Amino acid sequence: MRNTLILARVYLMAQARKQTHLATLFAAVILFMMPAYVNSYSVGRLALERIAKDMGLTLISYFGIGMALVLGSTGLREDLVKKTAYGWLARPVSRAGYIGAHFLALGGVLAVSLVLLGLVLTVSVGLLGDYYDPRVSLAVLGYTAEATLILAATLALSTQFESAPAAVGGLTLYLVGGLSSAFLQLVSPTTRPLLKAGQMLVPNLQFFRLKPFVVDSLVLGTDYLAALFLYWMVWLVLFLMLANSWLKGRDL
Amino acid sequence: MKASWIVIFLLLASVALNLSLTRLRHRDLPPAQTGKNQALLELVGEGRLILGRYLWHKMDLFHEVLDEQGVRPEQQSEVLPLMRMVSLLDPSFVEAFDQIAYDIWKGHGLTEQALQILDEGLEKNPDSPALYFRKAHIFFMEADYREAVRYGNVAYAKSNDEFEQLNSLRLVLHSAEELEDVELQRRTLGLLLKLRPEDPYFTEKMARPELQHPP
Repeated sequence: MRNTLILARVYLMAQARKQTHLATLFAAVILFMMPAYVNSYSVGRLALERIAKDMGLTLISYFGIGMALVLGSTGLREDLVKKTAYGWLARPVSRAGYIGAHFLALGGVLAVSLVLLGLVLTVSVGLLGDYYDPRVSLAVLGYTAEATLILAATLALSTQFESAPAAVGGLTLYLVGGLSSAFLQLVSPTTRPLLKAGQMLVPNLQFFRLKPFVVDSLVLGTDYLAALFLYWMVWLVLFLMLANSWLKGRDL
Repeated sequence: MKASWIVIFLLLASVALNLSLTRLRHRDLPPAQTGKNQALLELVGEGRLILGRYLWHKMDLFHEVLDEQGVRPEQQSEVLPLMRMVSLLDPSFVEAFDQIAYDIWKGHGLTEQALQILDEGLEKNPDSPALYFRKAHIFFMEADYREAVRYGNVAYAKSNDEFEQLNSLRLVLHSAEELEDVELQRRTLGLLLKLRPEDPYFTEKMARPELQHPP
């Protein structure tokens, strides 16, 4: 475990050297200005909160997925291509620990970025509006969980494929997993149960999208959040196990 | 071997949690619209509300142009599809339901359809005073005063805004006058005078003999 944490720190520093945080800061500046921009069209009525939260959270969601795809498809792959992975794996670091270190470092960068963006959105809306809405953080946590799942899946794919196909695989998972159940109405009633069963084989990312609760001020039960956390954990472990198994299968 | 059992267990747990989360989400979120149109609208995904607002803005621009061309506001049918799309994209956008209902009732004389649109809006926004008021208004204009009183009272009860409350109570008062319901008139005027104690119109109405000394 200690070795995994040391390795995770090394990868975290590598991300800092690559100046990944600059993309986050750029998005943060846009998010900070956006509520004022939206409000400038509201004819002095301070009608910015709903739209600003909606647009801001949508931006955070897409930013998180983009970042997860880039980090997941390049982080571990670079190690394999540059053959630096051989050096690490010759030391007393298990392959599971090695995958875990990558996930901790990349997931950490992703989570910190999204939480920072969430805070910027909360503050920028709060500065112009009536109050600081803490529920924005709830939606951001949902998006962070969604993005970390895509990160873990892309990481697993990058053990087998080049960066581009791995990223496309991650994107496909994002699109398929995020499909609304309303799409089932487009197919015939006989094929519907089959598709429903097929949907169970990928994580349903709709569950992580908590924006309607924040934007429309709906009440969300704590039992939902508890079940969501378990669901996230289950799929995270599955993807990391898959990555571990695929890495073991490689002739390193 | 051990890993395979763990994977099977995790997959089963995922299915169970999926079913549980589906149930809980249906409990906490308003019922989703069904039908093929809705499925196609889902394609817009995260940007539904933004697209809805954009179309509303577009509708407003069309409306300005048609105004300049001398078309009466309630006769501007071209903007109806845009407003309908807005109401489907963002069902919490009460103004869209209200405007569609008013236009198809006033401009096209389609009272039934207007009431259906309002019912659809109320299904999604059960606490909207504006939609209850519009329903009361249409019933009043269609001379169904009992229904106008019913929905006007609900609009008053649901609202915290003084202007909206006054509007709803005025509608109830006029309906009560049409129904010649003295008790209801007195009660409504009492509420109106609570909101506007010095209002000469309400004071004068309240002072009428038939309200002071009912038969």
